[in-house]
Parts: sequence; structure tokens; C-alpha cells
Amino acid sequence: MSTRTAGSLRTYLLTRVLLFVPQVIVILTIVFVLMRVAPGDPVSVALGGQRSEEELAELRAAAGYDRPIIVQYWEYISGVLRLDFGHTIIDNRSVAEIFAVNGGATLTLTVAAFVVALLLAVPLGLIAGRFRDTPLDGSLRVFGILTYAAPVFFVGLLMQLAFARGLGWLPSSSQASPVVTARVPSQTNIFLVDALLAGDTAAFWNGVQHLVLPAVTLGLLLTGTFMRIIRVNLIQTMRSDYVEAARARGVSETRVVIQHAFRNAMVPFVTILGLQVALLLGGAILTEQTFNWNGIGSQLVRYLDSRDYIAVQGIITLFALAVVTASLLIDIINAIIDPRVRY
Amino acid sequence: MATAAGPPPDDSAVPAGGRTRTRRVLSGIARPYRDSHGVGRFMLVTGTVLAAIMVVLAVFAPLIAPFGFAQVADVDGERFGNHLEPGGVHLFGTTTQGFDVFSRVVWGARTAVTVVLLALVFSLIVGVLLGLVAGYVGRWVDRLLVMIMDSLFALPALLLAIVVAFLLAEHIGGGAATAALAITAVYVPQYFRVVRAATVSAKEQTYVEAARAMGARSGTIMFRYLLNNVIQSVPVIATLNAADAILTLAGLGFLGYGIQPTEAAEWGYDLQRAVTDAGTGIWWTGLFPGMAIVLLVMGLTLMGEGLNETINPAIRVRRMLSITLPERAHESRPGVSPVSRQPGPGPEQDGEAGKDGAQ
Amino acid sequence: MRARRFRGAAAFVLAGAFALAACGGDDDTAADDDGGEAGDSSLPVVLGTTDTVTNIDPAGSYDKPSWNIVYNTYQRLLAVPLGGSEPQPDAAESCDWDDDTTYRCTLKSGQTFADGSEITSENVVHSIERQLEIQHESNGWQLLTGIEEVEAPDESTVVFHLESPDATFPFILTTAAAAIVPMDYPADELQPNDQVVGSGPYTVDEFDPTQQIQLGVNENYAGDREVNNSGVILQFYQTESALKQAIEEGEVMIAYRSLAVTDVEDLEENGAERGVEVVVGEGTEINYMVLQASREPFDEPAVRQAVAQIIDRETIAESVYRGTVTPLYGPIPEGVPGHVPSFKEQYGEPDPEAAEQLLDEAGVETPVEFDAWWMPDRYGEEIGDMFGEIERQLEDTGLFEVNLEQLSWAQYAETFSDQSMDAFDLGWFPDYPDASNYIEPFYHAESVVNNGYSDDEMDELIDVMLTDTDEEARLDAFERASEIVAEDAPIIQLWQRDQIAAVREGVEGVEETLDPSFIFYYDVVSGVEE
Repeated sequence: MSTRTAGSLRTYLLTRVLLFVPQVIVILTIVFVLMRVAPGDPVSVALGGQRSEEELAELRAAAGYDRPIIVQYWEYISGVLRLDFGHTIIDNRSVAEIFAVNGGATLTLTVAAFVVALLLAVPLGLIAGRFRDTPLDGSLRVFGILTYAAPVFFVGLLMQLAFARGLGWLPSSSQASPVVTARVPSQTNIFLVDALLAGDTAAFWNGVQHLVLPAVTLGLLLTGTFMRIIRVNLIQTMRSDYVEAARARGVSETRVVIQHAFRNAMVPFVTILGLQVALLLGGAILTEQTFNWNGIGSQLVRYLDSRDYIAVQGIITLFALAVVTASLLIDIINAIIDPRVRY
Repeated sequence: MATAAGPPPDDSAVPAGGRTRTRRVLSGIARPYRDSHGVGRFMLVTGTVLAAIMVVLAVFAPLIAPFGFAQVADVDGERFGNHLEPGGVHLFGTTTQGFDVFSRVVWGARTAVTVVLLALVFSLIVGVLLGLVAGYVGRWVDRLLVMIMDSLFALPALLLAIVVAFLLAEHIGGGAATAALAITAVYVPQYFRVVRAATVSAKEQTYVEAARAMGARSGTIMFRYLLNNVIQSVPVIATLNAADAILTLAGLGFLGYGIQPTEAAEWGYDLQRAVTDAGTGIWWTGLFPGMAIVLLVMGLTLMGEGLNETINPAIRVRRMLSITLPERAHESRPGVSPVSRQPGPGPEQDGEAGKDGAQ
Repeated sequence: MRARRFRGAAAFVLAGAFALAACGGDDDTAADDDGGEAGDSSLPVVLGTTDTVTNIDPAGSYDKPSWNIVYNTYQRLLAVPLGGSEPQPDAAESCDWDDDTTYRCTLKSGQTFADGSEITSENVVHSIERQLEIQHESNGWQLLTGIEEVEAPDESTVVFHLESPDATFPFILTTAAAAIVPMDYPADELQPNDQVVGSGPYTVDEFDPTQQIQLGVNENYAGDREVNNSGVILQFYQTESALKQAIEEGEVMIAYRSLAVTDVEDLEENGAERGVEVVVGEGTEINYMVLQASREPFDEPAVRQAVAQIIDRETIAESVYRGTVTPLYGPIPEGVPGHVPSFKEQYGEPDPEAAEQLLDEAGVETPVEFDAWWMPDRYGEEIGDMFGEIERQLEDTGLFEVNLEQLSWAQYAETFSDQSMDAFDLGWFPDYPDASNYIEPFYHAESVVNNGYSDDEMDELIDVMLTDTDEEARLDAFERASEIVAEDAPIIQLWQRDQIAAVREGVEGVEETLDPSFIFYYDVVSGVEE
């Protein structure tokens, strides 16, 4: 790495983008093997109990599951390339539609959780790094571990008990009150945006209230992770030459942190974001389930429970593609903004 | 992030000769506790104590738990009753099914420890084998395996675990082995990564070359080298993975894809059943299993971090990035985004960082 | 017989869907509710549920939650009035038998669909014919297979020619399968859910079955029902506890299907202080255990009888369900004409010694080992607890050795009828509130459960139930059938459950619609102004 030059940045980006292709193919293959080869054909799994053998055979033929697995594999891959992820068996929705309709909820939740995590983790991480190895640092780190150690659904349950049931401050489930949902016309499928587009501030406020508990619950999960990254980066930056130089000029330690080290400590943070996409999506499944949040995670659970393998396969495929694409983008952004790449 | 070039972790770990393996292992275990100090020591000791308590509960569950995990009546056939408040015979109260919560928590510890140990053994076996093959054979085998392992990372871990648990449950039922295998699928890539990196790194070590030149069997040397490396890195990863595995297991149980309630007591399942209770003011059925999860995961995480800090303080910062990041991520990602281990600017791998340092 | 068998099969699917879903329905009887003037409230009724709605084209579903929307948005020729048990005219002016196999209906005049088009007898023919043409996989069309031909001799007359006499045919016309659709519904495929048009009291304004379905009042509705609110919002919840929280927080006004036992208990006790009331209606949902009479060990009647002799339904109802279910001692639930507690008469109180004697006399070696199957995802999470209880009851006698096995519904539905399970749990919601619907699907030689049980006298009795138009003769048949199945015990009924809803203070009319028809008529709900 240390030998990379500005010229190699271009090479790197090119390599990185080229690597994306085989990686996508491999991941699609894994999903296909998991979902299609393991359980048998989706038709009989999903609908088996309700029809005769002949009917099933007919349906299998109609859906193409009676053909060689390699042909099906090709269809799957080429379908994905055409952005066709299939239709669910139980209610005949297209997987893309599931993402369009329910993705907004998941997006809202994850973005809000991310903001919560940043708001908590940046100051706490900086403090921990600034006062490294003191009892304050120790307790902040233990707090970080605690946020990580508590299962999302347990935290969510406690939150609901405390703030919804106990204090009655906040609603405990759904994206908005049913009456409010009904009166806001759905345009983007992101409730808060729809409320703003409709100029309905009361609805927007209602949506924000509903968002608080799930966002904090999922955000806490990330807080510990973020805190530690920021702390470590800060400590690392504080050892660098230019910070030493600032210190030598008599700049106070806290000012060093704020003025000099902070920015640089945040740069590598971008790299970590790629990882958090996967983490967030995983946590979102549990959070959505806990807070009756109508996102992709709860759809996944719904289709799993109905043995709708096509839906599950489609959702997983899209999840995986989202993560791989996010990590590609973040690697690229990181390569461009991280000065160390150009050294 | 890997630009802070420390000495390769492995160099400092070459054992002094002459000691027996047993002694070496024992002293290896004791060393972190001897050498640690400050926050690191606090974390290590607290974590070890917490984890040890849970292991004791797990091992001696039949002696500690007053009742069976599915028992609803005492020896005389007298029913416990549903939703009894904590106190008296039922220290933590009873559940909606009339089970004794304290007993469920204790038996749950046994389930958790069993599943995690199984998962650890499975993923070590698979991860080490594949890692060795990839690192040693190299070329396309290596590339392919790396690609597959990377792709497994790209799937959110809980999602992967759910799918595997779900598919396996259809075929082999929803027992501890299913849960363990589901978790294994999630963690294999991490062991693969460590072992592969160590293998690659070992192949290039000067003394291995030298030994080979002198006619020694490189396999033997590599194996020893590798063993040391694995012994160095695995405790930290394994501890932190174990913590994460507990969470994954509980998540599976909570969603209903984990161990079936008739097979064993499982905290995640108990919590899911307790959600309804909590809404009606019955707090004891959820609080205790929830606390058990938090304590065990915290214990293991503290232990892992403490170990991490004390095993090699000189490279502490760098190692934090290269090893502990993964486990921080809830779903236990290694600190590398799927592809960035390629020529990427992402955080470096242990072995590769070592290589950088050696150059 | 084929049709009969399939009808039963379809009802099974329906039963499953019930457990998850809520129902609603529209109906033809004017409700005599005290709900005040229609439309005096500006807010719609918000009804929360954990159910799942699939298709609301009548030709595309056979599950109670979807049907319930059909009942509220379409008309049928006949409907069973609230609280009633006999079909009465809905869209029809009158219906009657010409002869054993010819049924003639006359439509009321001047009825239109929500889009303004007129309802004629052609619509009825179209509705029936497309059901039979589409043959949707949900199998609701199987209910109509007894129709040989349906014709419209003039604009207001429909004539059904049946393949064979069927006394239950008017009931079939009350089901959503026979709901009347506009002519522009495709003859060979389903109308998209967001474009449905009916002639019932409500119209479908928004359709998102993962979150919320909105119903508006149908201005063109010309039927007898009086709409006491300004619309309905159906809000879907993933978990029973989320639903319960929602009603406590006032996010929904009615919580209907399903609340967990613990929640019901809590609301009954403490609901008042949170402004929530529990409403109990008459229930017809039953749950039962099928014994595999086709092979060992349950091919021996004494073994089945021993199980029936041991099982303690009271304890199940008390310990597992804490009083939210009623022990069921016969094939036909209490509240349905024809109910006889035949198991209680046959076996009395649970008695392990009598069971041991039964087994001894038959020379059966004990303990008898068998697998008992249940599904975690269909009839509420308490089913697993119930089977834990059954296992204990049977094993405590030392006569049985039970292995519990669970399988989720999709696989379960595929497996239960292939005779691979020794004993298995199922639930049942009736297609229509007639006692024959609790006998014919289960005890006929070609039963849905396919557990190898058959009895010639039973088959004759079933024939009487289905074809005899004399009420007395039918009631006798139900009684005799109940005795036979208690003695042979191929199926052991366990409990029946009342419909339960939780409502916010001030909401009225819900009690009235929780009748044995299992249809939730939204129009009777009133008092929802804020």
C-alpha cells in the first residue's frame, strides 16, 4: 500500500470495479445453491399441500422447475442481470416491487439509526480517545460493549416498556398511526417524505414520533462499533507527526483533538461504513420485527414463514447486491478521499 | 488503516524452545492475565469471571436448576401455576407455560454454551482446512475460495444464519446441531481468513525458506509456524465470535428459527414468548433471560478485548483494527469489506500486515 | 364425491388462514344496532389484525381474512343474517327450489355496482362461470363444483342446475365464492386487487396487505345494511403483542384476530383503565387431534379410545388457555344446532384406569408409542403448549410414550393427509354455519384428514345431512353421527374458541357481528368519533 501512487489510484479503481463482476456472480451462485438446490423445487414446497401430484407437476413445468438445474441457474443469473428477481409464489408480487414498497421503511429506519449512532458515537468516541486509559475511557468502552452485548429485541422491548407503556411518551409500533397513514397519499413509499410532500406537518411529526424508538434501538447497536473505531482512529492520529508538531507549538490537547485530529480520524471511518450496511440490515430484521415496522426485514420473515422460496431468494439476492454495491462505492470513495492512497 | 506498520504479530510469538507443549500452552493461557494492566486487565478479569459463571451454570445445570426446563409440576404432580411472581420456590417466577424461569435461564446457559462450542469446533475445522488449502495451494483454488468466503461476508450474517437454520430445520430438525451449523456458516470465513493469511505469510518467511533449503520438510515447519500463529490469533477471534454467536443464536430463537422449545431451553425463544408478558406488566419472564444474554455476551466481549489488548501491547492499535473490528460489528464481520483485501485500501489482514511490515 | 372431498380440502386451507387472519364481511341483514345515524362520525373505523389478506377478487381466495373483505365489498344472492342460521336474500329478491336439483333466484331491481353499472342475472352467471374457469389455486371454486349449469333466462332471474341434490346449496350461495362481480372482470384471470369493484356497503380505496387496507363507503350501495361509520382502515400487525399495544395506545379502535391468551386475560382484568374492553362473541373455531386409524398403533380402536379416555380437556382449557377456550366434547361445537357432547357421554371424566382396562382387554402392549405432530404457525403459539400438556397427560399414565414433532404449516399441510403422521393437530373454521360442515369433511370415507377411518352408517348419515330437507331427520343424523365418532374416536376434538375482539371505549356494534358465521361486518360498527 505504501507504494501506491496517484497513477495506481486509477489502476486500483479499475481493478476494484472489475472484481465486482466475479464477486456478484459468486454471490448469486451461493444464493442459488442455498435456496434452490437445498430445499427442492419451490412450487411443491410452497403449495404442495393443496394440490394433486399432477397439478404440481403442471405448475412445476409452467414455472420451469422441471428443467435441468443448470438451465434454471442460467435463468436465475440472467434474470438478475435483467433486474428481474422473480415473483413471489404466495401473493404474486414482484420482488422489485417489495423493495420499492417496503424498502422505504427499511431505508428510513436504517438512516435514522445511523444518524443516532453518529450523534452518540462521535462525541463519546472522541472523549474516550482524548482521555485514553483513564477510568472515563474505561467506562465509555464498557458502555460501548454493553450496547453491543444487548440483543436488539431485548433493548427494543425495554424501550417499549419504558417509553411507550411506562411513560406513555412515544408510540411503540408501526411507522405512523393508522389514521395518519391513511390520509397521507403514498408517493415515494417513504412515509416522512410523503408527509412533507403532502404538506402535512402533523403527519410528519407523527411519523417522527413513531421513528424514535426503533431508530434509537437499532442505532445503539451501531454506537459501540462506531465509538471504538473513532477512538482508535483518534489515538492513531494523535501519534502522527503533524499532531506532534501542533503539540510542540503548545496547542492544548483538547484543541489538538478538535482542530487537528478530528478530521483525519474520521477519514478511515468511511471505510467502515461498507461493513455497517450488512450489520444494519441484519439488525433491521430484528428491529422491524420488534416494532412492527413494515420493512423488507419483516417481509423476509413473512415469506420465510410461508416457505415462499422465490420471494426469499429474491430478497436475499437484493440484500446481497446492496451490500456488495455499497462496499464497492465505499471503497471507491475511500480511495479518492483518503490521502494515504496517494502517498 | 494498516499503515501503522508494526512488527508482524507472529514474530514476537515464536516460542522459546525447550519447554513442553503443555507447559507452553498453560503459560500461554496464563500470560494475558499476568501481563495485563489497567483497563485491559479490568476487562479481561471481569469478562473471564462473567463467562466463567455462565460456563459453571452450563456445566452444572442439572445440579443448579431446581427443575427441568420443561417441567410444569413438582414431584407430587402439583402444578406450579402460570405467571407466578418471583419468590419462594420459584426464584425468578414462572412463565406463561408454567415453566420455572430460573431453571430455564440455567438450562439456557447450557444450550448457549453447547451450541457455541459446537459452532466453534465446526467453524475451526472447516475454516482451518479451507484456509490451509487456499494458502498452501494458492493460484486459482485460493482465488476461488477467497471469492466464496468474501461473498458469504456480503450476506448479512443474521440473514445467512436464518436461511441455513431454516433449510436445515427442514431436513434434520431444529436442534442444537442445526443452530450450531447455521452459526458455523457465518463464522467459517473468519477462521479461513486468519489461517489462509498465516499460511501465505508462513510460506514466505525467511526461516521457512532457510529450513527448506536445508532439506527440512517445509510442511512440518509450516505446520508449527501456523499452529503458533493460530494459537496467537484464534483465542481473540474465538472469544469475540462466541459472543457474537450467542447473539445470533438468540436472534434465531427470537424469530422462531432456532432451537425448538421442546428440545432445550433457549434464551431467545424465552424472550420472544416474554414479549407478550412484558406488555401486561409481567416483567420477570423476559428480564432474566435477557440479562443472561447480556451478561454472557458482555463477559465474552470483555474477555476478548482484554485478551486483545494484553496479548501484544506493542501492536495494540494496529491489531485492534485488524482483528477486533470484525467482532465489533454485530454480525461479526472481519474488519475488511468484502473485496478490499484485494489491492484495496481497506484494513489489512494480520498476516498481510505482517508481510508489509517485513518488507 | 370428488367435489365434496375437495370442498373439504379447501376448507382446510381456509381454516389455516383463519388462524392468522381476521375476517370481516358484509352481509345482507340490516343490523338493528343502536349505532346512531350513519356517517355521524368523520373518522373511519380502525381495525387492527395480525391476519393476512391475499386476494379480494372472489375467484382468487379461500381464506377468511380475504373473504371478509369480499363480504364487505360485494353482495351475494343470499346471506346468513347476523345472529341467524338460515340463508336470507341479499342481492336476491327471493330464491327457491324448483325441484331437487334446480334452484331459482330472482334479483332485486335497481341495484348497481360502486362504479354505477347495473347488477343483472348475467353478472351472477359471469361470477360463477369465471370461478369455475379460473380454478384458482386457493380452491374456493371447489365449493361451486356441484353446479352443472347456471343460466340467466331473463335480466333478473338466475337458475342453477345441480349435479345432485344438495340441501346445503343455499349456504354455498352465501359464501364469498358466490359473490357477484361486474362484467368487466376478466373471465379467465383475476381482477387486480387495487381495481376491484363490488356492490357491497364498502369500496376498496387503498390496498396494501402488508400494511393497511382502506375501505370507503359505497355511495351506490342499495342493499339492506345500514352503514354506521365513514369507512374502515384495516391495519396489519406482525405480532399479537404489537396489536395489543396498538389498541392500548389508541392507535386502533378494534383488535380482532388474534390476541394472545395472556393479552386477553390482561385486557379483561385491566383493560378498563386503559379504555379497552374485551368483547366476546359466539365462536365456531374448533381444534382437534386426528389419530391415524389407517395403521399401527391407532388402527386398534381400543388405543384410540384409551387416548380419548385419558385426555383432560378441562386442564387444557384452564392451564394452557386459561379459560379462553371451551372444552369440546363432540364433533359439532356448542352453539351450532346439532351439538351433542358425545365424548363426555361415552367416556365421562378422564380416567387412566379405565384406559388401562381398555388396552388390557384389547391385548395391547403398553406403553404405546406414537408421534404427535403440531404446527407452530397456524392456530396460535399456545398449540405447542397444549401438546406439551397432552404429552404429559398421556405419559403420566404410563400407558403411552409420546414424541412431539412440529412442522410449520406449509410442510404440514402437505404432509398431514398422506398418512405419515401417527397423530396430528388441526383446526377448523366452518365454511357456513351448518353442522354438516363439522361432520362431512372429517368422517366421510373420503375425508380430508384421510386417516383411514370409514363407517358405512356414517356415510349414510352424511347423505341424510346433505340431501334431506327435513330438519328433524338431519338433527337425528347429527346426533347419531356424534355418538358413532365418540365411540370410534378417529378424531378427538379438544376445544372450541369464542371469537374475541378488544375494542376502545365507545366503539359499538362489534359484539353483534361476532356471530357463528365468523364474518365481521364492518357496517355495524359505530361510535368511533374522537
